[in-house]
Amino acid sequence: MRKMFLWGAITLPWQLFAQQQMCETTLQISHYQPQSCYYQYQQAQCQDVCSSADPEFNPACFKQLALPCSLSAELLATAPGRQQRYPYRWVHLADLLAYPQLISELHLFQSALYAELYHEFVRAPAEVGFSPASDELKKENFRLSALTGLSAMTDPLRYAGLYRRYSLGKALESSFRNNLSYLKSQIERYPYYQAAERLQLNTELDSLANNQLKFWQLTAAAGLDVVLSSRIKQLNQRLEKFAETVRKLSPAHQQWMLAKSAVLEPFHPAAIQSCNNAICVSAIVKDRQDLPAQDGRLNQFEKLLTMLSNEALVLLQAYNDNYQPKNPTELTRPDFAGFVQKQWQSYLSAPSDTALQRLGTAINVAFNVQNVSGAEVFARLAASADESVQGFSTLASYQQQPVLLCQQQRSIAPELQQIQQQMHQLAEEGRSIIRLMLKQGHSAELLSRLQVVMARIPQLVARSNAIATVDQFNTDRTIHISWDLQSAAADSLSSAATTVAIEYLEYDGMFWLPSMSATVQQLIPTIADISTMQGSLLPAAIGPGSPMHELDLVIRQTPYSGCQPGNKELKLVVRITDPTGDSRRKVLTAQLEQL
Amino acid sequence: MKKFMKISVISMLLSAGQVQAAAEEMFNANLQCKLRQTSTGDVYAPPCQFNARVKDADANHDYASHSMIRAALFKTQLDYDFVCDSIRPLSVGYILKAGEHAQSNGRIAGSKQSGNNHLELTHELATANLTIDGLHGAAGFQAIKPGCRLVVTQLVSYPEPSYFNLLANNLASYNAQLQNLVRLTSTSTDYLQLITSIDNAVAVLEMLQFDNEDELLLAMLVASIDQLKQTKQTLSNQCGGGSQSSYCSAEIGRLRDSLAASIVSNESNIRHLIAYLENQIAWLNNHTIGRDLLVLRQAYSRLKTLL
Repeated sequence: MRKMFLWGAITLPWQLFAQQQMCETTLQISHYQPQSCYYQYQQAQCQDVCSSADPEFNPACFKQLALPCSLSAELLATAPGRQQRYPYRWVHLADLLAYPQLISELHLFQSALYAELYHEFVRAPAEVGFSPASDELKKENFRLSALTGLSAMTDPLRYAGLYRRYSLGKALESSFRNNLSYLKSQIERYPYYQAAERLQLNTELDSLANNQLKFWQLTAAAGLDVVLSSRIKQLNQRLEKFAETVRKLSPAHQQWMLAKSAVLEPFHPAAIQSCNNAICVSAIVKDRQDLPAQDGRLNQFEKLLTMLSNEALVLLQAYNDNYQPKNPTELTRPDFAGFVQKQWQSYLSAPSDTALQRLGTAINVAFNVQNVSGAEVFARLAASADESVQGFSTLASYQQQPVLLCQQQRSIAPELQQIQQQMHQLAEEGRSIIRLMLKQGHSAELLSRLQVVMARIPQLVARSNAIATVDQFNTDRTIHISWDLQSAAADSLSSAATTVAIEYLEYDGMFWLPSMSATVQQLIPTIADISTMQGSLLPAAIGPGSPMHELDLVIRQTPYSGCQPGNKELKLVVRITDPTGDSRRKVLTAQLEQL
Repeated sequence: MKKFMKISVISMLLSAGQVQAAAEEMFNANLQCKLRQTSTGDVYAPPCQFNARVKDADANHDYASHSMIRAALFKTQLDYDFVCDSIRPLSVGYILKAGEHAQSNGRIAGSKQSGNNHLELTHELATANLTIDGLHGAAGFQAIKPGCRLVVTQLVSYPEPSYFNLLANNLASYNAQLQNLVRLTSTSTDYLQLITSIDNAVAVLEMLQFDNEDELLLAMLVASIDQLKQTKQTLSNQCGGGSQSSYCSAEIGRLRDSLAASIVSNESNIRHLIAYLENQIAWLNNHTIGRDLLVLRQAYSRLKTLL
């Protein structure tokens, strides 16, 4: 389990511990429910659903992290959140975050600085013991999690049945059977259960599964021919509904939606287009030659159509001329200037590379500038990737709120937009000076250039605060991104149990790596979900692949982050492993252009 | 592993040989009274020099800061040997005191034969001390044979065994009650079937929305979906208690949360009491407190089987 620590190009993290022997350490992570806890933490409502987790039965609540052996031993012996159940021993993530020697570690900066700026996140270490009462609670939690897990397994089939996805359902069916028998094998191995309790839970699961799969059983019995006809009829209706929404949009927005709809082309040509100053649709016709192939194409078509319909609805309900400008003094906003200034002051009072990196990270976090260290890691991973995939992204409204579109925001407050643009350039400039300083030393010349940048930031922020009449920091939209992970060589639907693991994710001026102690959502709380049809990749950034080979990511956005010039691209590197252990690395990018 | 280490540290301390608390001489006629040589041999007679003396009880205050320990009862045991052969009775006044509210005073008289005598005081958490405040029978006509001395062999304070035994039993039976309540606070299969039926119904209605041209029917569909989803909310709340499931009614969720919190506090008390008793028992091994140590050991092992 021991290996020498060699980070190669990434020299920033763990520099304190470079050249030490590393030991794999099991860390229990937090996963808060409901989702809102990641941006609006409320003690009374937020549950760490991983708090009573066990490494064998809830692996998603744990991650392995290579720590210096001395540190690992110390944490396992003394950390407040340490636990053991033979042969497992683990500590809680909060123990690591509280460890003073690690605070300067790069990713902890990012996390700590983000939290400092947006004041939103509180952690409490888990405290669960091993008394008979705790064991009973664990037993009951195990049952509840098995029942919840069952409905997560049957959900895709329930919808496959309902929405007439015949071939997809067939592919899902065999993976459902595998997952169910895995769940049952876990019940067999669960150490707190007696034979009668195992039997009882198995019976309970079977009877529930039977009910949850009702629709699918009906669909499966009907056969492809019947199901496909019904599906085509249904999709044609949905296509017509989408066209109706587009017809109600302004001409400019119509053009935008039509251009975006080109994405449907490979799956059903000329689905929607403009004809003689009108919007026309061409209905799907059953392809008698090859029913299974058509059924397969319609999966992707249906998914993209849903995304497009959501965006069209956003445009229909967006603020048009009905946005009421607010008095700048009534708006709440993070203190960007003070936040960056504080890091600048602490650098000036004790100049060091670490303090400079902190300053650089603070600038990235505040102004969503691409992270330099992140970019280096990304370049290295991308060089060894098998394939690059461009994702398709659409807007959707957040909790039915009207969305303040970027173009609308620009027209209400044009100067604000300019300031944002200038701020972005300034941040880029500051970042490049900091980069030079880290490479060439903190020379007086570079320092005075940085001084100019740092003096300009508060001026711009003050000006923007004085004129802002739009609420830029209210979450009003979500961005949905979908990637097709299917390799050109592979063939349509598959029921092989692949896993998808995130190796790199960059957004909001921050980047995440699996070696970081914080979870993806802790580091980048605006990420609402990363999932496939078969389940979520959160919290541990690893999850099941789906027969449709898709990966979906949902981000919450405010007008500020959505319209930020430096925040228009999201990058992801994933590794997809098939059951034989073969794996492929893919670079996934998405342009988040929005109106 | 961690517990192992702690025990081995203690046994190392023991094998290194902790010094037994030294016996202390509180009165010695040979030194404090006047020597007289008579035809029958040496005797000691008044006037005797006597200064009041105070001795603090031996006690171990490690891990005593927890509120549960601060509210507990303690016991101070005094062992002494007062050998004295005199013409008239000779006795010593004592005050055994701990804190504001516990005090025992009286006289202890010398005896011709050497032997251990025993006094006890029950009190709250406080340092106990023994004051020897006067010598009685050392005036007028008195003759004391050589070797008349009062030795305090042991003055030690420790957890009151029956109190701590009761405390341990209460923590254990509270844990058992919690276990039982957790078992009862669960969702039934029928309840889960009900949720499944609602889910199925909502899914069908949602799909029908796409399938429908009639505005009025659409409005009814939307209303029904909303209604069913709201109804389902009362049945699908976060289960609390460290579960990621939402298959619980709000009441069950709250109850489970409160049970989980009680378990945490119960276990933290148990853990604390174990650490405290473990430390006391190791320390008391060097004292002689008889059956009391056995009772404390029982309390300790009662708790130890829980965690």
